Amino acid sequence: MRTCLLLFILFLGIHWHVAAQRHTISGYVDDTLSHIPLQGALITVIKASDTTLYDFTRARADGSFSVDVDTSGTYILELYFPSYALYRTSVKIEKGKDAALGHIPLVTKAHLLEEFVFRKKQSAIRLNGDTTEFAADSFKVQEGASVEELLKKLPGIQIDQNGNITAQGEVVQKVLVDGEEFFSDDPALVTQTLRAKTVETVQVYDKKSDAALQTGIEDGQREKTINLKLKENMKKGAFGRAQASGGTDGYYDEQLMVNAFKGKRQLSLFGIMGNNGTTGLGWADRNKYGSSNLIYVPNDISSGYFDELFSDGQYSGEGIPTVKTGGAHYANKWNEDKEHLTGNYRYSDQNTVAEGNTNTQYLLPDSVLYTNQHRNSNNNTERHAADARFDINPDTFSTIGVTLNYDLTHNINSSSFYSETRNGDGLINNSTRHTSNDIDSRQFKAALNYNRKFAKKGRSVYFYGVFGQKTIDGTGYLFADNHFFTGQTRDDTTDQYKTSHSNVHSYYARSAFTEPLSKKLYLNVGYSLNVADNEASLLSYNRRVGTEWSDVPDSVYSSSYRYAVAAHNGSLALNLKLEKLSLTLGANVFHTVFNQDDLFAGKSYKRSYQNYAPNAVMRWSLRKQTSLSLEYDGRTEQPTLQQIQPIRQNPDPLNIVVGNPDLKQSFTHQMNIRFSDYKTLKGRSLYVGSQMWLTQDAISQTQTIDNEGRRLYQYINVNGNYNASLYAGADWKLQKRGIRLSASTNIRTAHDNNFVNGLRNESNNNSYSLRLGFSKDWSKGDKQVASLSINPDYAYNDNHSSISMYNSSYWSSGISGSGYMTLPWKLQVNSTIQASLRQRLPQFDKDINVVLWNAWLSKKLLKGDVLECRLTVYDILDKNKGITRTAETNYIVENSYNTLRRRAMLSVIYNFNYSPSTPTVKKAE
Amino acid sequence: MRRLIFLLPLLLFVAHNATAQFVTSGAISYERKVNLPRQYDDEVPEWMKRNMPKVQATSFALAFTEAKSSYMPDKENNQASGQWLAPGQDNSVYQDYRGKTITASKQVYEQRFIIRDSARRLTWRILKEERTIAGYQCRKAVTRICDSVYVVAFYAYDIPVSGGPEQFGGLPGMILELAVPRLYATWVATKVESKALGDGDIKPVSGKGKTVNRTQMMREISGSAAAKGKMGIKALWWNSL
Repeated sequence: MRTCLLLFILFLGIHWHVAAQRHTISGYVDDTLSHIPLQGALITVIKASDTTLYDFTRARADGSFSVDVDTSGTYILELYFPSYALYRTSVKIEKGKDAALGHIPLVTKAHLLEEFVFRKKQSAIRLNGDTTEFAADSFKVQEGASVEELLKKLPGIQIDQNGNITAQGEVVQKVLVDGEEFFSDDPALVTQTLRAKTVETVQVYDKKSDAALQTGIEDGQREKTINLKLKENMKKGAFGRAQASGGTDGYYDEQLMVNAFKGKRQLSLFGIMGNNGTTGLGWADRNKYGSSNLIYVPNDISSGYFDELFSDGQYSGEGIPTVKTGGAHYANKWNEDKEHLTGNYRYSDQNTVAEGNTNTQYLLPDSVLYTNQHRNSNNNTERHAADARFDINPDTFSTIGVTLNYDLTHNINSSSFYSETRNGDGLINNSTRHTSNDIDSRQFKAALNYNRKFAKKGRSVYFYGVFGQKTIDGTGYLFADNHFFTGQTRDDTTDQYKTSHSNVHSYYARSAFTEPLSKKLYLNVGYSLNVADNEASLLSYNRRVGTEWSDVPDSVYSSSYRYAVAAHNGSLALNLKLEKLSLTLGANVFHTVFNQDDLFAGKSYKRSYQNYAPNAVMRWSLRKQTSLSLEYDGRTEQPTLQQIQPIRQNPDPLNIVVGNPDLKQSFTHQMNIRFSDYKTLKGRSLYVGSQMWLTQDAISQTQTIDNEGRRLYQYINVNGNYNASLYAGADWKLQKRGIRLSASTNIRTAHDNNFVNGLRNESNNNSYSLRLGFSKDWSKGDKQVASLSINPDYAYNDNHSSISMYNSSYWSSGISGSGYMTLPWKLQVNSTIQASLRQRLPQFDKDINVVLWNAWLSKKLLKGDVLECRLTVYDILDKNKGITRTAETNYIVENSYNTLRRRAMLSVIYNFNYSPSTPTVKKAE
Repeated sequence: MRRLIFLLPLLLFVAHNATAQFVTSGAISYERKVNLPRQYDDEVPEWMKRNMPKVQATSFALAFTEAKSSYMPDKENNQASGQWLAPGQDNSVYQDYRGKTITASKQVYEQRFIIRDSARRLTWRILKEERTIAGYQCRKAVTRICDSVYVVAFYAYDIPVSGGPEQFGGLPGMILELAVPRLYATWVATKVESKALGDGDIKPVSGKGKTVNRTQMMREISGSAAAKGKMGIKALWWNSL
């Protein structure tokens, strides 16, 4: 019987398949409005009786589908397509009948939902072409932390105590906010005043030149740039920070920063007043002139003839500055973003009192010379800088941009020096010198750029023109009293009143054309002309009696020149773009003509140079998060006029430069290799890079140090100079334990040739450094409650001079640590320590070890912890010192200067965030 | 006019979506979380259970195309976690969706089994609940193994490959979350990477072992000391996954 039953069932089964008691459900899936077939739509067939999955299929290209069912009954049919609402229907299958459902229109969710929320899931680190992106929220920082603290957490980024940022082994030159130039000549201003919480992603990339961006052809010019992308919700309403602080011994520090957004309009204001080494004294401030929308001229020749003779009053990091600075930034877009305007204004008034000591050791063929110089200076600089940039895209093919820069600087400074030079036998000279200057400078620049693309992909035309004008006027006094003790004792006194004037007009124009030779190969041809016309005079008047000055300028130390430069540049580049590889080969030819008229001597000099600069750039994306790049740059460089035909000047009678009319141009080969690899999930990153420079006919010096201790030097050409560095860094994150480990190393070598007292001197300066990092975070839930970071470093400097038996190698090591802890009652303690130990050199008897320990205690108040009271003690041990040591060719310099010492400060900080209540969205009908 | 303005973004939206991308090949990272003390019941004293990590997480990687998939431990992401190891730490499974066959490798005490069998047919119930996992909209489905052990799965509509962790599959989309409550174990996709994979990128199960089918293996285990006690029952369930 059982067998019978089994057979019967089997028979039934066969009957199913053979006799095909099948029912087909069929239909078409398309979009309600457009009737576009939805290929790939999922059709799920569920038995209505027990909700079990019966079968499923996907719609064909024409949107059709069919599913076979074996038994009659009710089925639930579900149709799904991404972003469309799930369509659910029941189908009753009657025995022997198919179900043809015809067109089933799906409706998008947008239609159904009033609000659509995009959720973007992002991993912590992404490598996107040349850009490394960090998702800010993936890196925990304490509540209210600044962007600087966030950057410190990112792998491959280091920030020193002065706010200098290094990313992937290279110095960061710009910090942008939402791609906008935002007081970007002073990165510390942005990173220290903007809060980490406002940032969505941090992007690190090499900003290419405007020309490279618009033509797509690499020209090798790049600036390491950090772009902070703000969170969308921060771009509504306003946010900012206000701080008021007062301390012992009259220290104060007041800061205000406001960012207000309305639609696409952004307005930012900041103001800083303080004498506490405050922000707004960023490192870039001292070498970059002008403001944020900086007009850049490659191989700029427009700097004034006497520029290098004037101290421009920028803060050099020495001494104690008192600062008043403020600024405004405005950005807006109109007409569907086709018009874009940004503008910045910045004012600063800075007063710096500095006192310092420089010890220099000169290695000579048969002896060593020591110079000890003591200096006092007082410097006041008042500066206004304004810039604006307007971009317009009249059609999809063209871009026109106009940029204006204006800068007005007034600098007053006075300095006193006392120096002594000794050899083994004792004092050989001493010198007292007083200088004071009052300098006004005005600079205006205007630029126009035009770029047009064509229907043929890759074809483009580019034009860039700049006009610049710069005037410097100054008056000053020099008093110098020198005594020489070797042989016949001799005195030499200078007492002069000086006036200076310089006026430069410059013009720059460049146009370039890019043509695609194939889909992957592009050709770029360009030409530029740079013309500068300069008038400059420096007049020195000797003291007659009392306060009277001679009417006739001193014939030796006065000069008046007119000089003109014209530089032509032709360039050709080939660019190959493959999916994972980009290769550029290019060459530049420069022809430069100098015309110099010595108006006093009635003489004219004319010189012309032909310079060549080949370059090659290769960029290879090995994997998604791994890239390798190779760069080569060759460049000729002509000597400066000061090296060929120096102006007789007498600010420092112990250092005298002699001209060399036979000086040739040098040729420098520069090679660069970089590798970076990020493992996102593993929290591991690695970068390795190397840079090499080899200079042919390098411009070096021949020095003669006479028996009176005066240094006469002349520029000469030498061969065999090279420089190389190798750097590497790695970062590991042990996610579960909140531990981050890092290690980086830098090896540098420099080989220089020069001549000392007629003898050839080959010097090797090598340095090896290793830096380790350990940090651990403690979190409670989503919040970080404590953090500790320790960074020890060690370096060895190895200096050898072939002319000298004296060894001047030394080690240095340091440790920096920081940590904080959250305590009950919303209290928090925070401490940083910075210690640096340097081997004492026998010839310098000073103790140059520095320990700087700061700590603060804070309490958060009010709802949302928006108000913070903070008590800070700086330099608790009172052991801070300003000190630097440099070793080059045949000398070592140790420079010490006054810095801020122990003080206590009480601050009130208010972080505010105002967002207008979200307007009610009108419902769609 | 108002209506037109309203329609415009909608049209854009439609145009965009009619070309929507389904993920037909790529890689999925699963995090498997197992409550360790709960694996032991009475066999292990309470104080020992207190000393073991409560939850043990292990990463598994699934590489898939429309034709096949391979599921294996992501060794680089797994930290060796001492003496207490959850079962099935190094299970690997190769599924052939065209031939509807499965090759799986399991270590059961001292023996490694290579299971070669046809794809398992499970009866799934489709429930109404939806959940977003690793950015994908997923639908809930439940089934039973070993007669009474409930298995909950969430499959992604947008990944039209009927696979998932271990030997699970057969749903209209890829399983991104799997839970076996009685084993105190969950598998959740932490990352779905859409990328082109060739058939050569999907590695079959490697290593030596005793080749069996599912029934043969269960017979060998249930006849041994491994199947004794409450822990033994769990071992059977674990090996049925």
